[in-house]
Amino acid sequence: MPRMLNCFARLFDYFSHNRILLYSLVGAVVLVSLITLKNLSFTEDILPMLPDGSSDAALDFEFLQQAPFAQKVVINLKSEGVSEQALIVAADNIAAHLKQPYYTRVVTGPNIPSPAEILSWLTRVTPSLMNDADMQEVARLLTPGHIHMRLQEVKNRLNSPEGWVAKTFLLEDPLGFHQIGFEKLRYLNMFHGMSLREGHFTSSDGKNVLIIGETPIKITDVQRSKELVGHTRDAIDKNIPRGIVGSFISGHSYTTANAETLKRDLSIILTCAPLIILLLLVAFMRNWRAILVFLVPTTVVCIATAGVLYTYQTISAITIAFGSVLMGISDDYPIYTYFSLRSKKAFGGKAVTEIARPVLASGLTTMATFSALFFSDLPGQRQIAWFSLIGIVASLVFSLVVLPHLLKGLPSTSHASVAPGPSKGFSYRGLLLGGWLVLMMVCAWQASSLKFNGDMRAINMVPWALRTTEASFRETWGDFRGKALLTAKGDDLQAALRNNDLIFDHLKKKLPNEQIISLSPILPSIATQEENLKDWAMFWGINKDKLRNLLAQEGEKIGFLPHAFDIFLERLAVMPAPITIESLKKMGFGDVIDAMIIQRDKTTQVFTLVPDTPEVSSLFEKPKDTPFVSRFISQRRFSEIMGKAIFHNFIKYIIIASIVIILFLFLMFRNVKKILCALIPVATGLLVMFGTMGWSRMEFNLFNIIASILVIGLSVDLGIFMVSKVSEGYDHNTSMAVFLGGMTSLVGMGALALASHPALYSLGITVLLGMCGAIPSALFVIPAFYGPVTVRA
Amino acid sequence: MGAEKYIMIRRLFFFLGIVILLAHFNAFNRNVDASQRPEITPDNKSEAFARISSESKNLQTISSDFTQERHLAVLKDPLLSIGRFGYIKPDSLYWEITKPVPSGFAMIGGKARRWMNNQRHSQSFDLEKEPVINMIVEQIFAWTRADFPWLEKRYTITVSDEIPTELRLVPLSSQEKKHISHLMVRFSKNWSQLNSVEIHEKGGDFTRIIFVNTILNQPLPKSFSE
Repeated sequence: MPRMLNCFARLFDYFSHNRILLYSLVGAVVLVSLITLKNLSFTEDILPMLPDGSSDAALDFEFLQQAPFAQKVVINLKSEGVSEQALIVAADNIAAHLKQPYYTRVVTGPNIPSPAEILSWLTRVTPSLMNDADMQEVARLLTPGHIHMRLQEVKNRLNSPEGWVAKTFLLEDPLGFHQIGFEKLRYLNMFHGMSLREGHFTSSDGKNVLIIGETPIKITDVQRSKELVGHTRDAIDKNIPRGIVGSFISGHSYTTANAETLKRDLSIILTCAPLIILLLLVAFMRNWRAILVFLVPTTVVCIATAGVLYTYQTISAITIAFGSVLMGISDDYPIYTYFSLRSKKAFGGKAVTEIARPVLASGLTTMATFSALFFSDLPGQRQIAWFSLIGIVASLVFSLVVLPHLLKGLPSTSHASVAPGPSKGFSYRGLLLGGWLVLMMVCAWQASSLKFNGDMRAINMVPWALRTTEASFRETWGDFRGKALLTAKGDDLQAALRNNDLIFDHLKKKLPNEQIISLSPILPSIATQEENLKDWAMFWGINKDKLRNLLAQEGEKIGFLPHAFDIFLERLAVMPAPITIESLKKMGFGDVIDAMIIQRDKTTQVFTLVPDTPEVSSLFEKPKDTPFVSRFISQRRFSEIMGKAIFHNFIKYIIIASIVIILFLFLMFRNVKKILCALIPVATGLLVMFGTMGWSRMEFNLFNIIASILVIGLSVDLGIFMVSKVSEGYDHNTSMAVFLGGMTSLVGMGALALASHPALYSLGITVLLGMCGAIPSALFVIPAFYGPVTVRA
Repeated sequence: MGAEKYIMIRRLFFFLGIVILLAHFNAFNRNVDASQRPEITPDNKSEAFARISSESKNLQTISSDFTQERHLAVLKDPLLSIGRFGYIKPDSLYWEITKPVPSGFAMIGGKARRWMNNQRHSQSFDLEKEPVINMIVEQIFAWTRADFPWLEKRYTITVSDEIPTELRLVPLSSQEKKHISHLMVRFSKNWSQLNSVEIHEKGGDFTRIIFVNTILNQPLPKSFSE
């Protein structure tokens, strides 16, 4: 190590004679970085913070993106005193104004043919849909009382205006078997309480109408999402009459809200943090060279941003916001260099070598800590790790190679100081350590109630207006966006449909009918249809004569001739053509089919929608218990998976970071006491952070993992600096460096706490909590714990 | 029931509407001295259409009672019912069977509703998705424009040899011919009012509607327009 450190002395000596070369190199790096930054484009969505790869969470997230309403814009028009007709006219008018390129298709109602045509089709195909329960229902109808009642109704209808139209239909299906098929259409209704009026989606009270728009714009495309939201808002505002309130909901609204909030936050964070850091440096250093020190973190952020852009081509806004944190971290090394050099009487390569040891140890430890984030499933966390590593390396190089040359001529202010802890005697030391221990115990106790929350919505920006709209939609139309998905997978459509049939049979036994949205009742697999038809044929093979006699007997009482229902009886033996996707699309169910069946990469997935509740989820917890292959996907389950992943990741990072830190500390100090002392700020920072979070019921999200890593990295820096000097005798300059470094870190991270975006705020506030514990512990507890030291003159 | 049949029935009801209205326009002239009114014969059919067309300009409302007989091959006896019909220019139509089982439909101000058993429990419906009723409504309203050329493109209209005041209408469309054989529209002796309409289906079933108590341009009962 010392040999390696000598290279800094040699570098210092070399560049002392070649300063123009040094400054040219620095200028070139900065220039290249600035040129790279010219093409800066950052993504404001939360996507980088979602898992990639083939983890459960990543697969679930991909499925959630394919959910029926994930990519659609749903508009609600609510009447405030106007008629239903006016609502319908307004819906048609607004729909006509939702145009390309933002919308590829806008519907205000299902594109179904006439109800009579659907009924006629259902009459033909119902035998293919009849399951065991339906056949039992049919068997129950075969009594004189039921038949008499049905035939009387047929006669009444024949005499009504409806009878003009429906004579053939009534005679072909006098027992109303089509109603069994009709009931199955209910399983396709995704909106709670929706009814159809004049071909429009209306609420049951007639006070709301719905417009559904299909857009080619991905919810991850921030710019186009903004345009889409603007276009939709314009179309509503310009075409909505008085007495109607229009609102809409789509993933794009969330994307836009998040992006706008992030942009606002970035301008606040990136303005405030550097300004305050500069003021702090100037105030504490009281020398114009504070500006040179300030230039280090500023340049470092530019280089790190350029490095990320070079590697990833794009950069997340969250990483950019993290720039203020990087400033706070990376200024520790120039600050330490500044104060250390100020305390040296001789200004040269030897002095730089002496500084290099703690600076390098601190920087490498922080880097190693951040490296743990490379094991993350979240690309955003990996990007932050890369961003931080580049920044810390750049800062170390600037602090140890460049800055000493710039600080040449810095007036020496070396003076003796007394360590705050030991100098005031044992009672003070005991009190301090006692207080610290009590604080640690209280924090540990509170930290035990900390909860891990993997819900991405918790770290998404949802403005009040959007939240209100969400609630209003839920109240009127049910939670159609929050349903859980069950996937039935197959190598081909029929295999997937067969699987879907098994899922539906399973669900039917467990859930009320109205809670299941499934294609199975209306589009069973061909195999199921054939089974149904076989049962149908068998049933009528046994019961047809009975039915014939009942119809003749009861029909005569009402006035029907014996041959009246011959067509109906003949049709019982006719086997209909199988129901296919094409035949359903002809009947106007194309939208539902497209939403519920995904065919991709030679596999087919058929979705079933069910309530996203723990009870429903528990039905699919042990897939081996069920005769089908299915995947249960829901926001709640996704949150659970993410919560578990966060917890496991957190443990993994803590273990990796602890091992790395202890290893570095061992290599550096080779002394258990010193190692333990250096770890005091880490332990204090983390416990204060977790304890306060537990006490205030703040939940631990994936941004808090980064916060933990930050707290560990920064705290160990402070610990190393303090232990290095405490063990060698307390120096006011070190204390000042630690304090100022801590303060600037606090500012850099505290700036994130000014953010409105929940993710940044959460990151900022938790790091702030951690550093509020780490800094005082480094300044006061380490000296107290280490014990009396030799006071250096 | 196939789409073809719907088209057929739509046309049938279009025609029914036309005939009913045609008859009532003639009824409008009942107050005029019969001796002064020219007789409508097959030879002056075009002239009669022209006169009806000019009379339609003065039409505001129609109300009439009717008796309907449905002669169906599946029933021992015809189905008998009575009801009433109303029309208010320009876009309100009311058709109600009052006995034995109340039912009907109404189209008022662009809003359609129908009922079975009780008018108070009527349900609105999408006229565009109900082609039969839609055609009745559309074509009855279209009649106010007296579009006889359109009518004659679709039906061969002749006067019965046996009864000089009976029009026989045979559909021209091959699709419609599959289901409808013909329509018989019978007027009073002096062509002053419509007596009955018969719709004969291909299989032999037919429906006869006999109109009575026709009143023109008088306020209609409130229930017609509610």
